[in-house]
Amino acid sequence: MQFREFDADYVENLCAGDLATQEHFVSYFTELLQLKLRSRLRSPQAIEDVRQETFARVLNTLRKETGLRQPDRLGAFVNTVCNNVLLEHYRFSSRNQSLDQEGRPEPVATGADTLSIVSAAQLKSKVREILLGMPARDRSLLKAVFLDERDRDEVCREFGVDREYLRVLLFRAKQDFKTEYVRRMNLGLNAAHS
Amino acid sequence: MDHREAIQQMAAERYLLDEMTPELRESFEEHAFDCPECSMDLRAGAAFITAAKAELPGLVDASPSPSGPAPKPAIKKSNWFIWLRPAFAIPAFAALLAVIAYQNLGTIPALRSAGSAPQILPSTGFHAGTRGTSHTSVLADRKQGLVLSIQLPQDSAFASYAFDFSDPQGKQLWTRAATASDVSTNAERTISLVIPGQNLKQSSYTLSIFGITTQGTRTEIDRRILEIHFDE
Repeated sequence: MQFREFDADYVENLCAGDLATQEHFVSYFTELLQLKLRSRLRSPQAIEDVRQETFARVLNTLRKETGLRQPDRLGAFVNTVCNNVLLEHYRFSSRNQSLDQEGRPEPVATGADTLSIVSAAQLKSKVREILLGMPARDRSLLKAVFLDERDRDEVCREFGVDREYLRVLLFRAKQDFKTEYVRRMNLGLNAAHS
Repeated sequence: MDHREAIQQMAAERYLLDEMTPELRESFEEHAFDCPECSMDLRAGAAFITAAKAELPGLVDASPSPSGPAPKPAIKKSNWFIWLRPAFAIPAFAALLAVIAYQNLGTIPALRSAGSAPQILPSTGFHAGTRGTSHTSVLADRKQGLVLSIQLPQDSAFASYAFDFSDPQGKQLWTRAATASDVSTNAERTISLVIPGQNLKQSSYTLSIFGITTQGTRTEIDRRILEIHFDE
């Protein structure tokens, strides 16, 4: 399954409960929401709560008669709803009411989720290949930043590089990885539907 | 933030490295949630980092660093005057004279001739600015090298450009810079980069092209694997 364009048909299929569309929607935005929320919330449970509430509110709005005026801006809408949910989360320690109580269950991502795809041996092998293609110093640099989670400025000073070097290093690695990642992600989603 | 700004600023990488201010982060998120390309960049980058964290412990030497400074080698006492003895000095001076003669009779005249004689070099052209890493097969002369005719992006806000050339092991061999005025001497914004043949091997080299803004922000606009072949 290739990336789907967010349009009126996509929103209509989503509201109608089309399984493939729902899976794509949840898979696509779960990753983005988790990236967004992990920098703002500490607790994995809080991240999950906000993610689920965001999905519930988005789907509830889409199913209304007025729906979404600009279906092609579904992504921006999801982001805005998440921001609102986050604000409420900050204000209140716990939520008592959930839209689930209205009887509209959220779509559950079935089949291969992205994490399991990433875990696939082929992707691991690709990442390993990319890492082995780097000078040892760059591997140590990545380890210090992402695994040891050391202060970036301190790491850059120690390795004699600047922040731009680190960005370019990540950019190149990501570009090498992206082709395989997209291919495996599409294979995984297709397998889930077969 | 629009897409062009996101690309120029390497926003996905800054986001994943947690380098953004809260305002910039929100601005990028607003764009990325709506942009398939930036969204994919974020997701692929995050997936790479997750997988790399699992692989790195086995690939990085975990040996502890020395607890103190490395011991300095013992200083040997030497007698420099031993080299002035005739047994050593005469052969040394003879070798020096041979080198001087070779330079004056062979190397220097050849260099003068090479500097004044017209050269015909293999040439390859390409458009810079393609996303991802591209592979280009190029023909080179073993002695003279090759010429790359590089067409830079038309709508560019960069004040200058940097060209980094790396060997097959990833070690940077040299870097050259060009200003925007150098590039804009022709309508096609084409620049010729001469890669000398000395020490060039039939292998894969990497040419990275960076655009640099007036603020000094450096953005990679092209990365190309050059598959060097010689004209036998």
